[in-house]
Amino acid sequence: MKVLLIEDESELRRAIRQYLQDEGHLVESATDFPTAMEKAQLHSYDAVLVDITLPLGNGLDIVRALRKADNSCGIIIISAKGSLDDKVNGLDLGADDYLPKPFHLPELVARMRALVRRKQAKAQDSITIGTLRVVPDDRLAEVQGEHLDLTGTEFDLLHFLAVNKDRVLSRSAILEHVWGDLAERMDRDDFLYAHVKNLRKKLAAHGCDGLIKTVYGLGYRMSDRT
Amino acid sequence: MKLLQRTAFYQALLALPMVVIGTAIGYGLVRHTVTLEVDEALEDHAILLRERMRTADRDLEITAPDMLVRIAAGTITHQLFSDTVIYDSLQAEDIPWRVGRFPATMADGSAVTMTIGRSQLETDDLVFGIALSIAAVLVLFTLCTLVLFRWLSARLWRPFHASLKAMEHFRPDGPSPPLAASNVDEFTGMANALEGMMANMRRDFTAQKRFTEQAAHELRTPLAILRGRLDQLIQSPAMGEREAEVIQGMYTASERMGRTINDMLLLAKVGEGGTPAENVDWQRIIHEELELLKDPIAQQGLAVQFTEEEPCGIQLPPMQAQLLMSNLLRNAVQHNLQGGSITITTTRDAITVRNSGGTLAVDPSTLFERFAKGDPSSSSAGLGLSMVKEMAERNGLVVAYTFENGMHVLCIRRGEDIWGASLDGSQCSGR
Repeated sequence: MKVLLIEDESELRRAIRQYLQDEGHLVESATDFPTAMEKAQLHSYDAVLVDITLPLGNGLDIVRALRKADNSCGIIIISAKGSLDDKVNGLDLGADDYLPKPFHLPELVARMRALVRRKQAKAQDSITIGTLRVVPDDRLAEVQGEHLDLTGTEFDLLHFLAVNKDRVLSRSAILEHVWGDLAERMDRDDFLYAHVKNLRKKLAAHGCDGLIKTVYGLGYRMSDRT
Repeated sequence: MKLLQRTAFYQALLALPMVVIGTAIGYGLVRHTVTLEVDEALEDHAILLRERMRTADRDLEITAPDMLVRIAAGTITHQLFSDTVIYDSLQAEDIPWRVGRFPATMADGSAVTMTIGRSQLETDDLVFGIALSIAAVLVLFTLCTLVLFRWLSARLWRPFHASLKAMEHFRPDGPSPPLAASNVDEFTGMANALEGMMANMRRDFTAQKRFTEQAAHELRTPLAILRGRLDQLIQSPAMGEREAEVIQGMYTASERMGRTINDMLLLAKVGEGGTPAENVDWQRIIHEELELLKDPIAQQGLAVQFTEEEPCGIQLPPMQAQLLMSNLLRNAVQHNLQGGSITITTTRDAITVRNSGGTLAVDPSTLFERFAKGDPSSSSAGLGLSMVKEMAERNGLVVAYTFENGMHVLCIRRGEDIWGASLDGSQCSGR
């Protein structure tokens, strides 16, 4: 996937770029408004990640320009402003998603995947790990054609792990993805542990055990490699 | 009472004794003048009679319906005037008379007292007539003044009323309301002072808004870097238990900081005000928030009961209504017991949330203060309830907390008494 990353904060830009590159994406970055505008208009990308507050301009103008040029790339606004106005404004201008800072990188990856899947309208796009197949559009998971009976929460959990396969996901990232800011209200570790346990049990019942690996003290990783 | 009505009321109150006293004084003066005239006439008459007495005999006495002359023996040293009442058989009533007694000398040299009287019937009528005219003129004059003054006041105060109307629609994030121009110094002064104040408010509002936005940006950006770097770091395969523990600690701290920043910014945003309150579909909001909380509720095995006794008429800006309910319910979930309960009741004027829970670790009076925490080790910053209070007070609502029968009761109530947001729960009980 070819990604344009528009972010003026160098440390954050590096973190995002390295993480996405490790995922196998091709990442180009721009640090200020004119460069970003130029790149956005000259080249075509699958996804554009744009910060609103930029030196010499406003990221929203880039969103506007891209949509005006009928560019159908997926656009995700990443902003620290986090106000509702900003979000509504950005989505109105044609951005596909709005991710408030601070976010977890696996969350960004999940949103990008979802976006590109939607844009490219691949019918029955699915993620396959070993014998497990996850179909996000239908919220469906199956092992060798056999349907897995999952609750909504379990599916969200499975999907998030699958979309970030072979990556270590921190408990924070998982809790925030599945339960949002509600995570803080719960006895978090027990809660997550209980759901993962159920999920593992259901996977194991279809002969798919060992997919979700515990990374001691940190979180979980889904992988069919050992 | 309106200013104009009050002014008119006081003017009328003041004019009433003036009319009465004015009439009384007028009556007195006229009466006095007329009496003097009559006395003079009686004296003239006496002089004339004395002349005739020197020549003629004492057959001078007259008794006419309106005139009386009587000569009697006896002497007085000087003339005397007095009022008296004489019964008149013709009219069959008492009639006031003015009577003068004068010393006189008969032709034979004997000293006598001459009494001359005159009926006051006619003059009394005259005096009353004049007094009545005075009263009528005074009343008419007063009425004219009142009407004129009212009209004039309305005219003079017009810029004040116009400005007042304009001020009522002032909002710190809106345009300046146009204040009426006036050539009255006081009104111009007031308009200038108000315009200055509004400009200050708008400047403060904008400055605070900008500060909030900048603070949000400056705090969230480094936090985003921290998280991103941690997410990268944990991918490293050479991660031992010790490192994992350190990193988990950093994750937890970063989450806690993120939540505190969000809460503080929300609190600042609520403090900015500016959004008008409107009717709220509380039932929908409560159901939505409960739906969002279903996982933690299930985890703790809480029994939730929502009773809408009456549709609740509490008004709030829509965003704040959601935030208020969310904070109240999350508070009720977070500070609950395993297998406890939550009861939500709405009436027309109040929303009450009751939850089971242990005794409060903090002083109830500090419950709504910022950064007040029931559990010091809790990762929440303790801003939830202070946000509830801030929103409530900004919208003329009262928040009360009470602990009864092992239940924590939080109640949001419509109250006239905006500033008396006490912790007295009595206003909420009985529901």
